Amino acid sequence: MADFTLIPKDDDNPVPQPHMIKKGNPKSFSCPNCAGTVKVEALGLSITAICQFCSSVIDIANENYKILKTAHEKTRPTLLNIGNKGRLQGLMWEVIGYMEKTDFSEIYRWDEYLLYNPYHGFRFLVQSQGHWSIYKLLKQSIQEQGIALQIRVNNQKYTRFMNGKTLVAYVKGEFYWRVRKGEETVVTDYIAPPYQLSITKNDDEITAALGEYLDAKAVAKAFKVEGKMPYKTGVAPNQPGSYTGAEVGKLWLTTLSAFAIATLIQFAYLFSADNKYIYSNHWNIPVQNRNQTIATEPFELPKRSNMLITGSSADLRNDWVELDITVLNDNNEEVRQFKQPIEYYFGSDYDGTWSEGNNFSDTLLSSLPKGNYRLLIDTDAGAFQKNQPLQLAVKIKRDVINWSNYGFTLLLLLIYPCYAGIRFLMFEKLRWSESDYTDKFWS
Amino acid sequence: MIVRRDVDVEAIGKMATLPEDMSPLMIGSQGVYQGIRFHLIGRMKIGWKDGTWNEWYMTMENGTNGWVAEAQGFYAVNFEYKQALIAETEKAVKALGKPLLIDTSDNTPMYLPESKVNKKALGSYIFLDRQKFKVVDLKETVCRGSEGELPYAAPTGRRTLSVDLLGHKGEFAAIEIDHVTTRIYVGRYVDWPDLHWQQVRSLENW
Repeated sequence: MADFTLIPKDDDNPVPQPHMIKKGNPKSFSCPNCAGTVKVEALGLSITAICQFCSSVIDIANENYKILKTAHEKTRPTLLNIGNKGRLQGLMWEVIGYMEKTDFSEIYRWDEYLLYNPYHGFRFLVQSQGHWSIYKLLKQSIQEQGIALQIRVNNQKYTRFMNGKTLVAYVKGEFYWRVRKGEETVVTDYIAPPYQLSITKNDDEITAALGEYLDAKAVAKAFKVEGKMPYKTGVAPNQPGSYTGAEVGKLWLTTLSAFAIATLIQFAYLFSADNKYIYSNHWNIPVQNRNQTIATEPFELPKRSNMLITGSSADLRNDWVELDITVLNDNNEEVRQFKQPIEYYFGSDYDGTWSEGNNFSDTLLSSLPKGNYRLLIDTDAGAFQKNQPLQLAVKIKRDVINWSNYGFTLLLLLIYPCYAGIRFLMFEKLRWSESDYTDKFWS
Repeated sequence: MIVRRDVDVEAIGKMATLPEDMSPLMIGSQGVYQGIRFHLIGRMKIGWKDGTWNEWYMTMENGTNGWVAEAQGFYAVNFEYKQALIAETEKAVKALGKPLLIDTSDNTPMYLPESKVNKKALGSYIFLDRQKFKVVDLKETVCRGSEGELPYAAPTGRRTLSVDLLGHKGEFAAIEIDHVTTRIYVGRYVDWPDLHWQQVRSLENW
């Protein structure tokens, strides 16, 4: 029976020429149950179709269409309708099938839309508690992991999230497999937000589907959903947070580097700072002079630096002083003015002794230009009200080491990473609260 | 090129014998695989109890011939693997089972008996072309029609045992056992854009 022939490239050759090839057309047929029109979009691929009028399940795997299950129910409305088209992830998809699925408790229900594009095949668009993901089947053999908590596929590490049985609760449209209500599968979900790897087992087949989280608004826009989108609750297993663990880790690493740099700068400063007194004086101010302004003799700031002005009253006891100080630059007439209160109170009560304040106080003026300066000091004090003179001393130090700037810098640096870290932890806690493996995350 | 052509004789001249589909491919479609242009020159429509798929025969511009399998929205480019099998693989292939005897008169088999398919082989691993493949599907198939040029006779009704294998990086392999020959194909799954298709069939509404 071997009959090898050399095929000549001639008219005898039954090669259909492009002009002979029929355009691909979706097909319609009459439902064998209710005679309503049933349309098949994925012709040649779909093997089950559900009549949109009577919900009968029809076997269309071959030409003599056969009813698998007669029904006389109206089709249930769904958010996306069979026949809707929309662009997701840059490709146009047509909704050709819908399944409502539930877990075994039948508490959780979710929607699975079968999407079709004759060039790109199929995708599954899944809506669960307001969260949307699009899935593509992987043509890769996935190593069965048993109870492994992590699995690596295409250089992506996925963490086991949930394992459970699912049930098909309702179907409409057309499917490329023998879909049936009540069909059970065992699904294990692994996550690497925004991705999710769902490994499904039924009878003798293991399939892996790779899902990606979608923005609900993008889905609504793509399919021109007019009604309300399902209300979003909780955090979906593969929902990306504002921050990923890697981002938070990186953020903290950056912060620590910034800490190190700030510390280095502070240390360099520590060793280079002059930290020298440039002025010191003291006064005994009688009550009758209380309204006179004290003008100091000029002193020199030899180079641009900060200036620490310390006012003190050595005999201050349970009393207060308020200095109104004007720092006057003799060279350019610039002034800086500030109030410097000195308060010192102490005593004892049932809890023991207490004290508040001190008999001196500091004001640090940052970055003053070099030049000659004078202080103008107005005073007010508790002592004057008691008709007592005021003891006042003022010391001025230049180029002092400023620890508060350093501390403040560290504090500022901490704000954002702390915020991001807390946001991340709270989000992950919500995510994993739905997992079978919650302990895993917190251990 | 030597091509076996005792195809469905009655079908010559009336191409509509193939079950209709929405495939964007047709004889004359061109693509590029690993930098080499290829042309589709023939097709087999394979049926099994749960549907049909297309096996497109193609010729590449470097002289090799191969196949583009188009099933359930997936494409796999593959080539017949003609090297000797290692003993272990040979044994595993033999253990897969045998198809029923060829019966060309049966043109529209609905459900094919699977008595001779070794379902136990599912999930087992077979080494081919220095790669590890998992047996993911074994099924009895029937040729539902063919067109164009094919490397062997594929009359309507020809029965084979068809075994799909999958590597863990998307490698594709298939073992096709008919009543006389066992053919092995090795290749890989590709996405539609990967093959840079031209001369594709026009599709209503797409």
